[in-house]
This record gives sequence, C-alpha cells and structure tokens, in this order.
Amino acid sequence: MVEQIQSRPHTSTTPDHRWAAPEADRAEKMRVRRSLVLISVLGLVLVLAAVAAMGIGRLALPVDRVGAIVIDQLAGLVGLKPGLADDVSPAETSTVWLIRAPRVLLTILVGAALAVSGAVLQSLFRNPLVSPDVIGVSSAASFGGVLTILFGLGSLALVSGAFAAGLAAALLIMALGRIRTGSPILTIVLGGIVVSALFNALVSLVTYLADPYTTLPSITFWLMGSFASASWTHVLTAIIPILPCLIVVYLLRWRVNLLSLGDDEARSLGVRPERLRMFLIVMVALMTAATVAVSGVIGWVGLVIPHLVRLLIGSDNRILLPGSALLGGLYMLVVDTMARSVIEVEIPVGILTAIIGAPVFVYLLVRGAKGGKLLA
Amino acid sequence: MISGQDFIPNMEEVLAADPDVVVQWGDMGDEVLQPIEQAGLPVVGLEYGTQEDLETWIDLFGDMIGKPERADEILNWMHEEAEAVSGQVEDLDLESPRGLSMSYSERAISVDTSSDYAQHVFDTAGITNVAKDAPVTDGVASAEQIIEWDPEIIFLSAFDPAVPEDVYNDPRLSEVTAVKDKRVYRAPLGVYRWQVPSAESPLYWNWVAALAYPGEFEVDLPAEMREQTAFLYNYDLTDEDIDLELRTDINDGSANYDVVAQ
Repeated sequence: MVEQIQSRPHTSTTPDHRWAAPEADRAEKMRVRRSLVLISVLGLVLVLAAVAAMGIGRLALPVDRVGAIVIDQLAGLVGLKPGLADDVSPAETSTVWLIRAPRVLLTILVGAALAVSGAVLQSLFRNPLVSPDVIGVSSAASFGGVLTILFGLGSLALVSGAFAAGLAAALLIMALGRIRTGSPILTIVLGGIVVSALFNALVSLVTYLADPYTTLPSITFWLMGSFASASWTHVLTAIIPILPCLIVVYLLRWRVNLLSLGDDEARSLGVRPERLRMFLIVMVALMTAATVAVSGVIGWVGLVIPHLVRLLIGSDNRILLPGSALLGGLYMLVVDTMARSVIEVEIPVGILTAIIGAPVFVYLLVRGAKGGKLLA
Repeated sequence: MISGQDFIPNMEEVLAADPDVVVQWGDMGDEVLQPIEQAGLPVVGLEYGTQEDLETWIDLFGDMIGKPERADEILNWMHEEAEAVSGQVEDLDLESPRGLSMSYSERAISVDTSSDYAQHVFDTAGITNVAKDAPVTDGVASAEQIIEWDPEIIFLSAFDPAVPEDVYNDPRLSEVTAVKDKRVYRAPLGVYRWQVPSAESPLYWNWVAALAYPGEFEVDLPAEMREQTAFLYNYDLTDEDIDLELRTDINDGSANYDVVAQ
C-alpha cells in the first residue's frame, strides 16, 4: 500500500509550505498511527507466543497446568502461595520453570538484541548488507568462548571469556576508528573485517587443537548457536548488558536517523557523528558480545529482521528499532521452540534461522516487488 | 608427532619411524590414508564402531604380528563373555530397566543412540536405551527430553570431566528417576576407557549388567578384572589399581556401587 501525497498546484514559483502542510500532516499522522498499530500488534503477538512456547516441548503438558505453574512460581517470588499448581508433579514444575521459562525469555532477549544491533549498524553505515558480524565482535566473542571450552573451564568462564573477548574487539574497533582517514566509515568496516578475520582464524586454530572425542563436538555445537544451556543465570547474564543498551539505543533513535543523512548533514543538525557512531558501536558490541556469551553464534537475525521490518514500515528508526526488537525476539522464539521440540535431539538454532529465514525473506521480496514497492 | 588431532599423518615423521606396516582409521576419508599409500607403505585401514569391527581388528592384528592363535584366544574369550552376560541376564527374567548413556556438561547433554556402541552394550546387558530412536548420533538433548525419557540408570562418558555429583547437583534433572535413586555412574578407565569397543569391553558388559540388576546379576568384578588383565596384558592388578580403574572415588556416591567394587 503506497500512500499518495497530493499537493495543490502552486501559484508562485517557490514552494509554499502553508498549502502543503495539512496533507503532509494527515499523511504523517496516518503513518504514525499505522506504525503504532504494527508495534502494538507485534508486541501482543510476542507475548502470546511466549506464553504458548512455554506450553510446547518434548514433555506433553496441557496449557492450563503451564499457566498454573507460572503463576505459582511468580507469586512464590513475592511470598504468596496461591496453590494453583498443587496437583502438578515436581518434574512438570521443573520443566516449565527451570527449563522452558528461562529459555523463552533468553531467546526473546537475544533475538531483540541481534535485530536491533543489525538495524543500528545498517543505519550507521548506511549499508543494508551490514550485520553485527561486520564489526568483528561475534568472531572475537566466539573465540573467547571456544578458548574456555578448549581448556575445559566451566560455564561461568565461558560466558565471561566470550564477553571479555567481544569487548576487547570493540575497543580495538574504537581505536581503529580514531585513526584520521578520509572516510571514517570505510575505516571502521575494514577494521571490523580485519578483526573478524583474525579471530575466525584463531577459532579455527582452537578447533584444530581440540580433542576430537570430547572438546571438538562441544565446540562445534556451541559455534552453531544453541539455547540448550539456558538457565536463569544466563538470563541474568544477558539482561544486564542487553536491556540497558536497548533502552539507550531506543532513546537515541532520532539521532540514528540523522546519522543516516551523512556526516555533514548530521553535523549541521547538531549531532557529533564520530562520537555518536563510536558510542552506538560500543552499545552494539556489548549486546552482541552478550548474545554470543549466552547462546553462541547466531547469524541471519541481525541482517534480515531489520529488512523485514523495513518492508512493513519503512526506514524510520523511531519505529524500526522497536519493531526490530519485537520481530527479532518473536522470530528467535519461534525458531528456538522448533529447534527444541521437533525431534528428540536439538537442532542447532543457527542452522534453523537461516533455513527458515531465507525462503520467507525471498517470498516477501517477491511479493513486495510485485506490489511496486522499493525495497533495497 | 606422527599426526594431529584430525588423524592426518605427518608423513616425514612416519617415514622417519620406518614402519613395516601402518595402522590407520579406514572410515575417515582419503586424506588420512592416501599419503601413506603414496609413500609406498603398507597400510591397514580400520573401521570403527561395532562389535564386529572390533573382532575384525583383533583378527587383523593377529595376522599382522604373526600370532593368529592369540587373536583367536581373545575372540573366543569375548564370545564366551558375551554369552555369559546375556545368558545370565535372560535367566534373571526381570523387567529391562530404562537406561541412558550420555555425555554431560553444563552446556549440553549428548546421548548415545541406536547406532552407537552403547546400544550393543545395553543389548548385551539387557537394558532398554531410552534414546534409541533419536535421529542424530551423539545428538544434543535438552534437559526436558531427559525428563520425558525418565531413565532409571544413567552412564556417563569417561571422556568428559563430568562426574555423577554434577548430575545430582543439576536442578533441572532433579526429577529424573535415575537421579532420585542415585543411579548415575561414570564409565571406568582401565587401559583405556571401557565404554568404547576395545579388548576390555567384556569387563564393561559385566559392569553395566551388575549395576543394571544390582543384587541379582552375579559377578565378582575385581576377580574378573585381575584374570582378564593378566590374560590380555600380562599385568597383575593391585587393589589400588582396581579402585582407580573402577573410579570408586567418583562412583561411591551412587547406589549399589559395592556390587562391582566390593
């Protein structure tokens, strides 16, 4: 659906904004309303999906029991005892509260973080092909993680190692970004590619050194991305960096719009492009490192979800960012629920995101093209 | 170093060692075999995984070192043990317990399915493998799936650092029958880990059966271990050796371990 703005014929040679204003206003209001509707719908669908996902899994549980367990546990946290789930076995409580609930929350967090990271970077670099991998943080974080697996250190070391390595890469990128060159964006992207290549090579080295019977399968599985080890600890570990960063990025949404106009334009509108860029990259790095730390490397979401949202509501970051967060969270939730329920063993999530995402994206692209919309 | 972790041979090292024959894995593709053949060395490729493969190796080794009678001795012993164990289990005529052979870590739990050697071990010892139909071998199963399968006895791989205590302390698995009954055991480590197809496999069959039917399956495992280790390796096991092999320090916290450790 393409909105048409009809302007009255001008009687003078200079465009008279007083005449065009009411139409533009109306169109703008409609656009805002449509976007709000979309965001609310997405939000609602996400909540419903989360509830549904808690009822799905290898262990068959009717929905009312799931609800009872969740309400009881939540009430228990504040000291109440509604006793709704008294007839539920401990195994079922364990399943819903210790296994499924943290996993559902974690997938939503990770999906939102990755999608928003991708959207921000695409605006920052004014390039639709950019994903969170381009700044090298995921490669560095995955190296940190596999190194701890190689040395047989525990889960805590894995998370800290991945996070620390991701941050180190972010600092490296920042340092590279300070080098005065003619095109700062190109420098950052090149820096990201170099950092990525370096850490990917190091990951390969670790894979080569790993014991093929014990450590290597562990490393391979982790590298493909997985929420198999989701726990409340992991949720806590992820929420502490991700939630504040998401909020901060959302607060900066208008400035991200300005950045996509180009450095000179942005400067003339009161934004300091280099600083803002670095700051946003650090936010993205924190979020990406956190996602790799708790769930391994998951590709595709950061690249494609922002495009899907753009297909629906355009490139305005004021809507694009919350839209990406919600759609990213929803997508990740759906894919992971499939990954853990379809067969007895887990399908690595990174594989599924691409296999499902690719046809969906192509379909939308083709349908959008038929409708005459400009997509890329 | 003759080869790296991926079994690709370092040909210069191999030639420097001047072997009469090279034994290599035959089911890992050409890169590990071709360099050796091209160097003109006779190479024997081994297939891995099943009891038949194991017995073929023993035959091959016997021929290679010119002691085929010894190979036959070992094979006969294996067949006798297999019959003894499964025969005794059948005579017991008890319900087959649900079992699971898994590799446990905080990150992921992977399970042995019908195409792994563990299936053969379970079949010999009369255990039902709950993960039998899982499609991917060594596939990762979520804790929820383990709860759904609800095994009565769990065997941990000796390749991992994980011990039964780790499983008992995992809150997600607290409702699994094997965990509630404290029947989680870590595979022993003799000359090599017992759980893989090896010369010590018959000892593993006995160990598994004894733990699956505690008090019913009769075996004096330490005596068997002494006898077989002397037969295979010409080495007399001491009491400390036996404890070390059976990992009594690790498995003591689990139920009924005295039926094997005595």
